[in-house]
Amino acid sequence: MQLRAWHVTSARWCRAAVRAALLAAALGALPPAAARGAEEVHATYHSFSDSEQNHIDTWVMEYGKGWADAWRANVRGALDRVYLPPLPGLPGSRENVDAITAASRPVRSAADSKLNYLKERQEITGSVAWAPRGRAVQGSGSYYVSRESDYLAQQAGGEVSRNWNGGMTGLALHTSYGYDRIHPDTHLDGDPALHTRTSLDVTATCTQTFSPTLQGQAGVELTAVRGFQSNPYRQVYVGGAKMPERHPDERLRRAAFAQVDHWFSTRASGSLGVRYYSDDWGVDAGTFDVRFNQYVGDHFVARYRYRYHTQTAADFFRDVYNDANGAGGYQSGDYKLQNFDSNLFGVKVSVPFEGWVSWMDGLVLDLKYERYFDSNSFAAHVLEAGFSWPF
Amino acid sequence: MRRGLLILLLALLGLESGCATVAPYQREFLADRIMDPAASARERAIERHWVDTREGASGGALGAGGGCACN
Amino acid sequence: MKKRHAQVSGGRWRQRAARFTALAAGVLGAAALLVTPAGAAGAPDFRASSLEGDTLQLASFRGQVVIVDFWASWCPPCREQLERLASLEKEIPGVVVLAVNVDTRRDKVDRYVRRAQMPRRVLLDPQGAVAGKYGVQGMPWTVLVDPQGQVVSARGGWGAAEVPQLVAEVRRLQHRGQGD
Repeated sequence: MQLRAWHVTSARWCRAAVRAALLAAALGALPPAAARGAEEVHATYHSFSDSEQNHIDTWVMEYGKGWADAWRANVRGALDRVYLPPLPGLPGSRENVDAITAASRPVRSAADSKLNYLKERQEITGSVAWAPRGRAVQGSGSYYVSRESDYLAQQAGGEVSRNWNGGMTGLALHTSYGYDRIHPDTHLDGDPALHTRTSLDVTATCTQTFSPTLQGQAGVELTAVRGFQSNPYRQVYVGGAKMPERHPDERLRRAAFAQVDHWFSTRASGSLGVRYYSDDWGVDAGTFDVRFNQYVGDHFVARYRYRYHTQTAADFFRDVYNDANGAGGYQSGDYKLQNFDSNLFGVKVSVPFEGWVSWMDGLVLDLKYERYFDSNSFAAHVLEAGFSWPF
Repeated sequence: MRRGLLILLLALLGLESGCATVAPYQREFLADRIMDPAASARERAIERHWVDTREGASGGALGAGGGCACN
Repeated sequence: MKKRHAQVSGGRWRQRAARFTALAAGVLGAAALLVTPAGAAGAPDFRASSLEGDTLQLASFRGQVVIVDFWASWCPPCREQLERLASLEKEIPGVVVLAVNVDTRRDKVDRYVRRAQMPRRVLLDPQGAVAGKYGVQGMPWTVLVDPQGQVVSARGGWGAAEVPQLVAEVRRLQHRGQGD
């Protein structure tokens, strides 16, 4: 197995990112920014249940307010509650190792492994955006932190965008830096040490209006990750012996994406998105996402969605590691790094409240159901309910 | 299949080359909520969280930090 | 013989040159009277239907300060702009606000007007003909017209902090119009 020299590849991509930044500095006219002075609230409940009896409940609340005709602040909070079932085998058994691989959890004792496992994650993001009237440039900054018992993640980000051609063309450059601390919970096997991980992301997105009914978006994304990227609770059988999972300390991720949205005269819209991904761990992936929205009556909207994803395995991923050295010194039990295809079908309905009570005008309720399944016999139900309320 | 998706990506990028001038008062349909990119961006932020726990091809955009339980 | 021919030809040329110069001076002089001063242009006249069904024409408001505001139901900043102009219309007697809507669907306009604080006169421009005449460059787009029918300013709306400036400008134009 040969890993590509990521610093050579990253230099090439850094030059491309600098060119994108210079292009983003072009002058132009800007249409007035939307919703200055308006307040809005968004709330969502999200439920994920899979075929391995894992379940995740997520509550998200978001509040935004504009002021002084140019500024907008946003706060987003989220709470995840992860429920994992008891492990099927005894601690240290092959059955347990494989079960932990599927949905990782610390195992403190034999009795502990036979209990349901519950973990909480809290997250908060604050952002401020600047979009003065009549100016061509907009900017924003954000700070994100999420915390759980064994993981603290922080990320600071900023974005600059500029429009020209009467707002028909826009270019946005986003960058973020993340710093994570991983301090594994007490567990019987695996890696107990404290670790850190950093990530640097640069994304350039171009938005183009083609006609009164067609608009598109395209962009590239580059992420460099350094530090601990394994799962400390996960062990892998290598040459017949149990060893902690070990991934490379560096990963360079690249993606290109494009999407077009079209309005149809039947009061419907279609969206077609494509994303191509590759990294220096050898994972190559493609994603195709198509959505169709249709007004039913004056306000009710039904949306249908299909998503297809396919990816290759990482260079060092093996179903069975026969060699005591793993694959080039690395061994992985991470199902995310294997070769698979996945499909997702979904339907969503949006119900706006207009003309009922004046203070409810603008309130929109959303209900969504999606079914996800992949070529490794994994499947999941996704259920989402939420509302958006500008006032 | 991946080559086909790459070709489709390049075709969508090629659309960037041709467009008609759209005056600000002609953007009624582009501003409709079923064409609104902000609404889908909010939904994608929630989706990215569980997709990151199942697929190895996610990006590093805002809010991607996560813990071990969801791995 | 040749000398006499040259004298006669030269004289005719001088007469032609003099006549041409006089004609050119006259045309330029007349044109100078017709050219409007730099920085002011006449507001394009237009006729549009109102929500009540009658037809209004901009020229019928000559002698008054007119604010032509282009808006749409799908434009979130337009709502605040309309509220400001509705308040200004009540605050300053004699100012005329023409809220020109560019929605293609009439029912959307009716629904919006029922819920929002609106100026007195709402005009409909579903084809964008009036918006095109005024070269609208953003939404909302607010054009200030003086009592002589000249465009004083055209911009992407007036923010909350800029309302006092707009009020002062409208009062100044009204006083200037009375003084003429």
